[in-house]
Amino acid sequence: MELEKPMEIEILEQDEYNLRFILKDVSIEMVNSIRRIMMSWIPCMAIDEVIILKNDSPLYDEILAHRIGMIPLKTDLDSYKLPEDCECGGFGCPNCQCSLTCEIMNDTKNTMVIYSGDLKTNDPNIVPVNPNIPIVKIDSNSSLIFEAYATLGRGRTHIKWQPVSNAFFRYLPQIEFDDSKCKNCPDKCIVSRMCPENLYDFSNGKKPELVEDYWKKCTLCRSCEENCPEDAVKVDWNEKSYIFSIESDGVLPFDMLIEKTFEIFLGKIDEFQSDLEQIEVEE
Amino acid sequence: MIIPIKCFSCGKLIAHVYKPYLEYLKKGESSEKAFEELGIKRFCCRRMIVSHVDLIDDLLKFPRLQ
Ligand SMILES: [Zn+2]
Ligand SMILES: [Zn+2]
Repeated sequence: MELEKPMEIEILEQDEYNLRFILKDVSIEMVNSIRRIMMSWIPCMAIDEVIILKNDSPLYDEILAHRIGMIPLKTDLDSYKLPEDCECGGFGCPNCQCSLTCEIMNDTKNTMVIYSGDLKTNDPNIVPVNPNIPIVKIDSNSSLIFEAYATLGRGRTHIKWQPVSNAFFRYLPQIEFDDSKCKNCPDKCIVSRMCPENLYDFSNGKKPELVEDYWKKCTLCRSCEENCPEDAVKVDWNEKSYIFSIESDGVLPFDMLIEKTFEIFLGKIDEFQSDLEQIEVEE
Repeated sequence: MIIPIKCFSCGKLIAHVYKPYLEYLKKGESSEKAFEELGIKRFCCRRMIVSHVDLIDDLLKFPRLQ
């Protein structure tokens, strides 16, 4: 199959942790594979191995290790390799591992919370995305000493390696609104009152008006279509355009994330093609 | 026990907003306002914080096996 038109991306909103864009001229299968690659194939950094030397906290070592692993770390994809692709064969070397340490003794008389900002890292590029994530609380005269190793991994192994916290898409809504039928309507406009997103503006009291950027908010609930007594509204969606939303923890910047997604996507297609060519079909 | 680091349902990082959330409540703000200010939009993430009981403070009072 050949695409008639190249895919287009139009960015709607972007801030530090959220990105929304419209994908035009793509099939739903392709949008979904983009989503799945984002969630489970992009490598990112997380702590994978913890050596606990002293733990006086009320949490068990295992729970503590799990909490430390969940902390999202800023990722530097250029200087680290996945352990399975590394020359060391996954044993751990400076090319695939980064060590973080924490050594805290509570000398005060009060309890003390240990935050992710207390982790000391070897590589200044690999730091927790937020320094205020509480790890554990310790009593006075207690201490917590551990050594942790962060490696690259993929979301399909464990969600701690998932660079996006939420990635989803939906159809681009298309509403056909024929307001010439509105003059027959005896009542006050029901449609404008029923729409949960208030997409019909009935402030003039005569004719309801569909808001210009309704497609940003419309959830395709069809309440307007079902409630209009004159059948003036038709709710439909564009089969080839999708609104895609990504929410990230700040692990990878969005441009890197999207670049990497398509790199992996194209790599997978090539892999599939070369596998297909190797298969001999018996006739 | 102690506030989970990520939301169980969607995976958003939520542990760092628990303390500011309590501070908002102490000031007398509604929790809806607090969540809006802290950028917690979905109800899966909101329930993580609303339904959390910080039991670790009580456990710290007891001696631990070393
Ligand atoms: Zn290595
Ligand atoms: Zn959530």
